[in-house]
Amino acid sequence: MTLFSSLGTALSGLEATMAALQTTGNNIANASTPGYSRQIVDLSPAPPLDQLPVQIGSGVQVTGVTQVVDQALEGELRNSDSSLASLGATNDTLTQLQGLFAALSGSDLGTQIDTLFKSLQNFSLNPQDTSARQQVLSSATTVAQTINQLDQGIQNSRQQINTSVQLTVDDINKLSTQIAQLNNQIVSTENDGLDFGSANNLRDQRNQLLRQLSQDVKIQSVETSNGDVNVLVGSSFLVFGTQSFAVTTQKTADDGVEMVNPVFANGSVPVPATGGKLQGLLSSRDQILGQAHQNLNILANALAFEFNRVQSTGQGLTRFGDLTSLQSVPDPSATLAISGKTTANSTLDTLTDASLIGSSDPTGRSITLLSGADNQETRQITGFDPATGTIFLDRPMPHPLAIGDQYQITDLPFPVENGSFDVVVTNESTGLSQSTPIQVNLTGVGPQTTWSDVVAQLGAVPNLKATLTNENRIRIQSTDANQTFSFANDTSGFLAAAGLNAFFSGSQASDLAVNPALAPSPSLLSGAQSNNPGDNTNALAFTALQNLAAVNGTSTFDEFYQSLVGNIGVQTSQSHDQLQSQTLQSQQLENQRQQVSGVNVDEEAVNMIEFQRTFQGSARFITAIDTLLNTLVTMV
Amino acid sequence: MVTFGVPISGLFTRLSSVEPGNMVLANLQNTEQSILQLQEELSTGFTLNKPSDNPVGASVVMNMQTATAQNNAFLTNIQTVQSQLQTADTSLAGANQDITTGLQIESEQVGGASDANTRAQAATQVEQLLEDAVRQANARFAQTPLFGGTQTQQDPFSIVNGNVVFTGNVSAFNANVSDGVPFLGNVSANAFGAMSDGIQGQNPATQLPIDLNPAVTLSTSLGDLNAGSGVTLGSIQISGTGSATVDLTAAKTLGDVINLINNPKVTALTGVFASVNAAKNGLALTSAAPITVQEVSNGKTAQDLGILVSGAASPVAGADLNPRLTPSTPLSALFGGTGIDPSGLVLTNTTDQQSYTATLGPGVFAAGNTVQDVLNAINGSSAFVTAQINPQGTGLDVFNRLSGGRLKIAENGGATAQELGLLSTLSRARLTDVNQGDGLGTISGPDLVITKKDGTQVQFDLDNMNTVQDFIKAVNASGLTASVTAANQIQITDPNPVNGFLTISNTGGSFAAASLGISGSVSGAGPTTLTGVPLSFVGVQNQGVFTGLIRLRDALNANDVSAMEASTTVLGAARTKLLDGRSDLGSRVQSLTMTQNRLTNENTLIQQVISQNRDANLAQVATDFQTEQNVLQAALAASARVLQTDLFSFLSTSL
Repeated sequence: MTLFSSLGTALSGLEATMAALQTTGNNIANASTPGYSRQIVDLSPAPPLDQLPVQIGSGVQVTGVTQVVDQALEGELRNSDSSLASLGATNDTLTQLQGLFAALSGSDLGTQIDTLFKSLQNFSLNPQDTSARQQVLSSATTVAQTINQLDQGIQNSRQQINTSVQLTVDDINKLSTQIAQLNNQIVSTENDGLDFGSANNLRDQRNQLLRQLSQDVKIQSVETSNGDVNVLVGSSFLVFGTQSFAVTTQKTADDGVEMVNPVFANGSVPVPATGGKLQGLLSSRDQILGQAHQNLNILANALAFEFNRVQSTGQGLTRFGDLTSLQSVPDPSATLAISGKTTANSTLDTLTDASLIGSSDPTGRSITLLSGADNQETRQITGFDPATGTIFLDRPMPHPLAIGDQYQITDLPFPVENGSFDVVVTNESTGLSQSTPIQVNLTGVGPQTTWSDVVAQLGAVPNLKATLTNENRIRIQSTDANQTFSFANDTSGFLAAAGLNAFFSGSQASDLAVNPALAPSPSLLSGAQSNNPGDNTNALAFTALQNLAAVNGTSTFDEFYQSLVGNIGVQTSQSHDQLQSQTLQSQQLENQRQQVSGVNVDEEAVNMIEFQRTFQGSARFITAIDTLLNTLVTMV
Repeated sequence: MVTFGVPISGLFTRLSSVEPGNMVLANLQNTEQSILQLQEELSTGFTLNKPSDNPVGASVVMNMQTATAQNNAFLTNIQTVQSQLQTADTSLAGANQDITTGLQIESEQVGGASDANTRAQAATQVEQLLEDAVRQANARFAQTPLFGGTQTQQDPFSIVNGNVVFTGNVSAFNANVSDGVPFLGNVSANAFGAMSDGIQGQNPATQLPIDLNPAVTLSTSLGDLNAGSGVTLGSIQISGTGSATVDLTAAKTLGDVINLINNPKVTALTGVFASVNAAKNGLALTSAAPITVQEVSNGKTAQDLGILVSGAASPVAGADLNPRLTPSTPLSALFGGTGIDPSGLVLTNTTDQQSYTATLGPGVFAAGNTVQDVLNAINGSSAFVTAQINPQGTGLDVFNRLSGGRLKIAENGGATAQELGLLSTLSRARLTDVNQGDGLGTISGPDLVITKKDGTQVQFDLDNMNTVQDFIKAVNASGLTASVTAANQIQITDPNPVNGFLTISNTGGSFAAASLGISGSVSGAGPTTLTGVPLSFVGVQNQGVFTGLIRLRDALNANDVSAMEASTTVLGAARTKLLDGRSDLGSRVQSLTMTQNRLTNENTLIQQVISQNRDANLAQVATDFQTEQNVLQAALAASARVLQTDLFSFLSTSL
């Protein structure tokens, strides 16, 4: 041991404290940097000098500068970020949807339906009053327009979400590319794992990007021994080492609205979004908004069918001399409707009914579900297996069909069943009328009634002429100016389905409207079931619809609407609570992270003083050695 | 709401400098959110502004709001109906006053002090009363005639050649005044005697509504079977050569049932074929093997279709399904498919001034025509009559709607009227309508006495009887035999073989025996018959205020005292109808008031429920708002101090 070696010892102290002070300074500078993990200098005693029989220390050495990071906690944080982003997206959608319906505002759809029935009550007391009739048509127009607007609002939201999905996919691609690049830099900086964990700042950047990525989509990250982080979505790699795998979007159509869905660019496999903003967006679009759209369609369809049913079998103050059906069919010689129930659980794009075994091929026709989870969903038939009674659909249903789900193969928007209706021809001079029944045979046995059959039967009614227009609509004309016609006693639902003397045109939320022929002619509103203008029996039938379980056979219009908005309210409330809870959890995890990895300026101040004093001590030690050396030199 | 921010987990060793800031931020945001919520409650007055605020409460509020809207609609309807009924009551009271005045005139003019001139002047007064009664009956509410039924295009009553024609109808006009049974919102014109009691399609032998017994056809609606009770649709189990379950739920007509049973997929199993039975009143099943038909799942479809066969049989002739008569029933289907005589009938409505006759010939009753064609021909005729299918759905009833007219239905050379049970005969004539409508001159109490051959006496009070047939029945019930001859004579036979006198005489000052043409005495051994003189009778007339006043006017003009007295009977009946109408109307107004009170109370309770679920407790909200404000101020102050301090600032100030 020499005095000069002691100077070396002192120097090591100065160097170590300088490194420690530098690190402290770096920590203080990054105290507020998002994602920064505090660093500490790893000090260890320098190897001792062997002075047998003793060993004397030779100072201190810096063995490394390491981040204080709890990797398990970082993983939890990423999961928490995914959940928070997913819930945030869902909550935004639900809040928007709740605002769209504006329940309890006093001017929402429920209030408008109530107003419609109030005007019908007034109409029932004043069936010959034109202003009472006009009120009914005006309030029905308001109901129809509000349903149109609600549906348009829902579809707009779905399209906005499409844009968000596209932006999120772009962000995922950007982040995964950056992570792959950082992987490359970290591996290089850490000498392919030899200096594992030494690329602190790069790792901070990568951690921060992983957290951002986990907000977009739920990921799993696995760090390899050479410093790479592989990122998986589900079981598919998004980042593998220095390679990233791009995500793109595919477009599909749902009820006329384009849907953007994320898929891997290589192979078009759907991205399994089980968390993150992407999941929130997709579930908002497909489930929350999709369900609201379906429910609105169910409500619109039930309103149209029931109001058409009542309107078509009654009489207004004036009757018809010339009437054309709102609906047309592509093939007038086809059976009006084939009804049935599924007899086996089916896949999303098939339907099986054993009673169809051996039936004629319905390919090309429309099929509509009339019950179950897919109620009111309409598809085109693209194929048929007569051996099993299986129908193939042009696109999947939202839910698999269950046994017993009712369907109807028809080109008409509403169910038609076996029955009949009367055509009532009235002599306007005498007021006397003559009824002729029109049979609609849909028992499934014997010749089944077709669109053309109905035309032929109508044409055989005395004083009437019935023809098919170029668009295959039914046109009925009186052949005597003194004879008018109306309809009664429809047990088949044909009139409502064909749109003969209909109340509403359209059958879905998007196209529901008061029949354009009826809207400007209140006198055509059917208040009577006879030729008497003061007869209010049909108006009473309209009012009875308020308490009829017309929607899905279980709910009144009001009840269904209330359940629809009530459900949105419950979902919104739950989503809000979940979001709050998740926010607390995330904040708590962030606090825990801060407790482990965050910079405490006070702590750094103490460290700084400590390192400052150490530096001062080492410097003083050098002074002491220098004094000793000086003493020795002066002795010479 | 006071929020304490994000909890810091249990034991900790160190804090980062960022944490206090994060916590302060989270706490401030929570507090500000609470203040925003309270601010919304204060500004709207509601704690429930959107469903997510309280989904359960929102559901209750929405339900209650719908109930209120419905109740308010009912209350509006009640007010309208009340006003309608009160206006109707005023009209009925006015018509009643006309009757009172008419009776006063009658009592003044019936005495000897009056002569043809004074009676002619009085007739003018009665004419004015008649015009006033018509005005009362044509009263309107909100431009709508009150007594026209559902015919509201024109005044329901009009004076034609001095008589009153009713062109409205007596259909009910129901109103929704609460959930449940519709409320009858109008008063029938029958309070004014607008239409006569119906000439009922009647079986002459039984006096019961006739059964025209239509045959079933393939297009017969299942709802019209079993006298209109219909068929409970379900599945049936048919066994023949094999067995199959047939689902008949889609069937609407008898033809559908036959088609479904004859479905080749079914017959391949059962070997059973269905058709209309030989009697044309039900189904028939045939098979090479014995047939059984059973219900499925305790249904009653097979029974309702008349083909429930528990013991094997073949062929099976189904039970009579007794279909209702409907407008579309072909005339050829009547009487089990036999049809009716197409000769037709003659409707004659006779007033003192004019006779209105309508002859409906074979063109109307042709086999290819339907019941609707007959109804249209009768209703469209110039005889002022209305025909309709009877409530039982077994025959036709015809009503006179000409007050002042007397309606008779006669044959047009055949037997159509008789087959329809509509032929006017002495038997079914009212006692008041015999002797050209002069009636019998009855008194209160027994009117005639029959002394049998054994010396016993039977007394008859004819005021308790309505028609001649009622008298015949009463006589038959006394041990004698009575009937009406083809020459319209009443014939009474004492079957007692002993020798003696059968004597019929008036009693108590009544002229009944003489008026019935049977006053007299016959004797002999063996069954002894007293045959009266031929009687005349007039047709059915409306028993209302108009008929009463028309009869009085015409009697005054004719200076006919007995006709004047007879008119008081009609006026009395008319007054009863008006009073019955007013009484019924009064009870309905009372019922409406009770419903109105109930709905008003219900609305009050509903508002309470809505308020409990929705309204903000403003005192509570204001207090909470102040508390949150204090919390915010305290948090801001505390945060400002805490966030300013760290070791460096301490070191810099202390060093």
